[in-house]
Amino acid sequence: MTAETLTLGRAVGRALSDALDADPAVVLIGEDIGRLGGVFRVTDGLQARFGADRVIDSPLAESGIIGAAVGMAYRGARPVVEIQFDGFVLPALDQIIAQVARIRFRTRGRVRMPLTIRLPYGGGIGSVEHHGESPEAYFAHTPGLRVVTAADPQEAYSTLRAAIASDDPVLFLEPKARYWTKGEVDVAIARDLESARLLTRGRDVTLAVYGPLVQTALEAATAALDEGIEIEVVDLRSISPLDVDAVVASVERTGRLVVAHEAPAEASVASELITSVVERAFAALEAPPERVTGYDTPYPPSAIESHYLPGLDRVLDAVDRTLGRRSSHELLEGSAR
Amino acid sequence: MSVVFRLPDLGEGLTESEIVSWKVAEGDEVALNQVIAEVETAKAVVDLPSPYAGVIRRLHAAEGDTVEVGAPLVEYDVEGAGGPSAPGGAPAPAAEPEPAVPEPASPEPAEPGPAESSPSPKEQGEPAAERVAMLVGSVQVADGRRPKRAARTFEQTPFVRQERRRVRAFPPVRRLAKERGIDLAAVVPTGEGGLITREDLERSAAGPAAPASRRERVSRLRKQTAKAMTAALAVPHAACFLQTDVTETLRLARDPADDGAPSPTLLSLACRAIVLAAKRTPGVNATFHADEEEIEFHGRINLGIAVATDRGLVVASVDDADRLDATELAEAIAARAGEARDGSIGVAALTSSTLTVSNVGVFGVDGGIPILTPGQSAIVALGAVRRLPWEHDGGIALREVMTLTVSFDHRVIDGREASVFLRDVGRMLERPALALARG
Amino acid sequence: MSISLPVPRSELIEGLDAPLGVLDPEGSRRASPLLDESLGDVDESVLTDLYVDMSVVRRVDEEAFALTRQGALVLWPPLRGQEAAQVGALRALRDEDFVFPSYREHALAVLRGADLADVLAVWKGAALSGWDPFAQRLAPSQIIIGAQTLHATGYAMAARRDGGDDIALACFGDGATSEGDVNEAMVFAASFRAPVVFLCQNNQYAISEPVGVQSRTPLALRATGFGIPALRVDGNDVLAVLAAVRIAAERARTGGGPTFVEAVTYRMGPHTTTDDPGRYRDDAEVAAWHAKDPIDRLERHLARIGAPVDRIREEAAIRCDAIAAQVRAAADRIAAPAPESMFDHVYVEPTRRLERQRAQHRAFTASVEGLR
Repeated sequence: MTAETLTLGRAVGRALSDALDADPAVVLIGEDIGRLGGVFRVTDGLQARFGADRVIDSPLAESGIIGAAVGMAYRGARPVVEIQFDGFVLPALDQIIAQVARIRFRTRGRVRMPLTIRLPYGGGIGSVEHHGESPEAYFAHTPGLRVVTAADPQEAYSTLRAAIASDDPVLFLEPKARYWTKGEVDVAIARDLESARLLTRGRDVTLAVYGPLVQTALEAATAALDEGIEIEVVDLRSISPLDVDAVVASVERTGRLVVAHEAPAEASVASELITSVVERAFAALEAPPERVTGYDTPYPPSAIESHYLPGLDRVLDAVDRTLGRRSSHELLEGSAR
Repeated sequence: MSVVFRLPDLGEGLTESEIVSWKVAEGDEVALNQVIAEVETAKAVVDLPSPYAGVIRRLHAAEGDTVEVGAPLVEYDVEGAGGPSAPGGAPAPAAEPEPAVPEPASPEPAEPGPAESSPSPKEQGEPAAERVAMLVGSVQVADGRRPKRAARTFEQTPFVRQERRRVRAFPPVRRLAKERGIDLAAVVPTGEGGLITREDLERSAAGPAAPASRRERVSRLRKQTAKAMTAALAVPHAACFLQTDVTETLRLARDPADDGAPSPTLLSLACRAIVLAAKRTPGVNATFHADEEEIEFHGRINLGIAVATDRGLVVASVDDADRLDATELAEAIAARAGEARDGSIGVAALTSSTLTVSNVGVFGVDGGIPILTPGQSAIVALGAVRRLPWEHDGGIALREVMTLTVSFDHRVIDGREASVFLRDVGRMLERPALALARG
Repeated sequence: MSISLPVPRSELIEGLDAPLGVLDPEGSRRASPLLDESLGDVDESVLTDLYVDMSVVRRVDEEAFALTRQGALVLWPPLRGQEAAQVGALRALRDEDFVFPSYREHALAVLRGADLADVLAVWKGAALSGWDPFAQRLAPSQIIIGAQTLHATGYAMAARRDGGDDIALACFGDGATSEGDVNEAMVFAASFRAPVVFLCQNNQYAISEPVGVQSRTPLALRATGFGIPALRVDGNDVLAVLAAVRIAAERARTGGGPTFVEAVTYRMGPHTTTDDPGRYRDDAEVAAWHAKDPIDRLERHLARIGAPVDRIREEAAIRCDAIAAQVRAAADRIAAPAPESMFDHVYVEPTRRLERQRAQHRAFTASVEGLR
């Protein structure tokens, strides 16, 4: 097994290239993916290699991209479409939710929608409005649509290959803040679309994360060792469906749960995961689960995004609360506790 | 004064850029916005306009170098209180009432902090990226900086892990237990899946507070012993007992010979008898090889002595015990036992025995059914010497009586052979002169 | 037997075969009856003002671009090459007319008198909008492509209902015309005869995609499909744009409904400071458009009509240098918002949940050493 060192962005490009090679039905559609190679250079070189009828520069219309992909799927294609930024997926919500996610159900399985929708997401890159969002909850709330993400280059490669190969429609979320992170990629490693992975073992608390916060979680786990605290980090990988079994198994061991993501708290993935864990492992919990998330405001100006996004210190602050230690809540005023 | 221009993030989260070419040199005077370099990022090749008018004091990178965002790029000598704007990293002029915007966030671990960027590894001479060991796997720490938590403004107590068994109980029960000072680990659960119910709690609270169980971590030696014992019990054990009048043998041990030589001990005399008898009943010095369906009768007799140490039970071998007389055996046994207790015994001596003796008598019991040392076919237990009324010379006298037990591998020998062996040993201990006669 | 259908031509469009214009790249004034009618007041003074406006706008744009490369701003979408399209359009409006821009209409913000710090704040990541929309009669920069066109149409619908004299200007690019919102805006505008001017700056590119990807016909022609009259003009000719928007504004103000003005121009710079146009277009094309530069041609025209070009250029340079310094000072002046401000203005009144989060955030900030 040979492994290459690739950035996460290049690993995605490699997965697309290998998928185009492996299956002539695969076609890419997106804005600026062809000649430019993508605004993050993820699709660099693909149009030159596979031609403009398989790597298609699309008109500027997100709903059009998804809707056209639906039609191409009817005709036997396996479209892999790109929406350029998280904030721009919103016009496409109608096609995604009312069509892509439902056509199999509507036609009792006669028509399949093997689409993959790639979406760079997440903040922390110091940009402007609509370039740092985390909209995954809208999609997790959509039956019929799989929602997955990747934390590192190997995960990006293998999960995207699995997403493309799947006959279910898959929304593949790419953490743009990690596009330049390097890692080893072995193309022979396969990943599924459902299981979480245990990244560290620890006795004291379970920390469930995904995407860009996996790195933050590992750093938090490292820093926590300085205080003798062992954190078990679970990379959820799949946002819908959630691998609740894996998190429950971990919580049965640790008795404590912290869930962290950039998206706001209200009606979020954390809400869903914590509810599921409480339903199954109520008796194992030694402390109320904690959520560390973006606040319930629109994404703020990037000059203050570090106050909004969960960082190492805010995660460990929540860990302390689950351990019954003092935390920032000591400094809460009055009724806000 | 000197100001440093640090490489900005040139494109929505880029982490580094390569210097394609410098358009200026150290010592050059440059104007505001004059192009000083051409850099290549993962996204684009761009010209860098000078943020200051002044003289280039130092270029911090060479053409072809890759520079990280936030790393120093160019040092200038400028006049007065800095240039009209404060680009990434340079502090705002002191006259400003409001703080300047911190430099655009770069994709480092999102630790909130003041505006100055941390020194990059390039400045510090690039420590190798640290791998931090975790319980499983390890964390590659980016940039060679180990992640650290920011200091807190309040006093934090050290984290002390409470070592206790995980229990299953709903929050109201947990709270109740806490209020009453009941340790849930001591409560017997009757709910499904080991759930401690409220009634379980009430029940445990009704009587006197149940003494808490205590748990102890198993030492490595005990773990090994446990493993060996468990394995050994797979072998079909059977046992025979023999009560023996050892008064004569004891006399040998107590009355030293008049030539000044050291005396044998009761233990060593018994071992001598065992060794002699083993020669006559080779089945007690054998190994059953189940896979090959063979019994190996050992050529040597390596006598294993069971020794109780602080850490647990070990079997120390006196190799070729048949070549030693009782006195030499006594010395060898003492030496081995000493090595076993102080931990200096070698691995070979712990594994080479072919037949084991366990002197349970020192603990004051008559006997027991000892468990075979793995790979052996017999183990002899020597009980305590008791002064008992015994048949002697047709009458009843108080004699020194010891119970012998042999526990054996029934696949190798049966009760008859074991009994023959034990009787042989007993006979020699009853009448030590027989060993002189028969050898 | 093949059936050939005639290619539909619309009587609703002017400039279909060739964009209308009055100033050619060499600075000669040509006759264009439709446009000339609206340019009667244009004398040397007006031309000089337009020249200075465009020069100042260009200089602001250049300084902001440099500041981004220097790390003082996080991003900047340059408008170089589009000065005439923006300046000409704005100078055709009244102060009370409301403008709904995209994210590249810096000229409109500057010329409407927005504080430079407010213009730059969004691009420094310090705010999601800068100026007060009602003070400048200018909606915030819109990053979602095309959304502003529906807003402009709605504004115009309300103005019409009230019988007001103010109209709306929607600014967008060639790429935006593919978005559903823009087409829906034209549906609504036509249906309700809304007093809105759709100004499409066709700068030939949507990031890397040439306009041919968006449309196989001139963009202005598509508006006529909605029943909206269209004017297709040379976007690098400030007088042509001025005239076209005057015509459209007059039509809107007098109950004539919407007009689509396509200003054919060129994006001389990258899409934003993170883009690399060398990857998708060649130098020859850029050079060809450089020869059609809007400011150069006006300068040449001023020379042709005998205006004191050297003095004008000098005065413009003084104004430009002054504003360049102001831009740098403004960038410095921009303060990061207080982090707690993110809890304000989510609603009219904060919810209890938000207040709790605000308090938690405050407590967390207070709990960590050195956190601002």
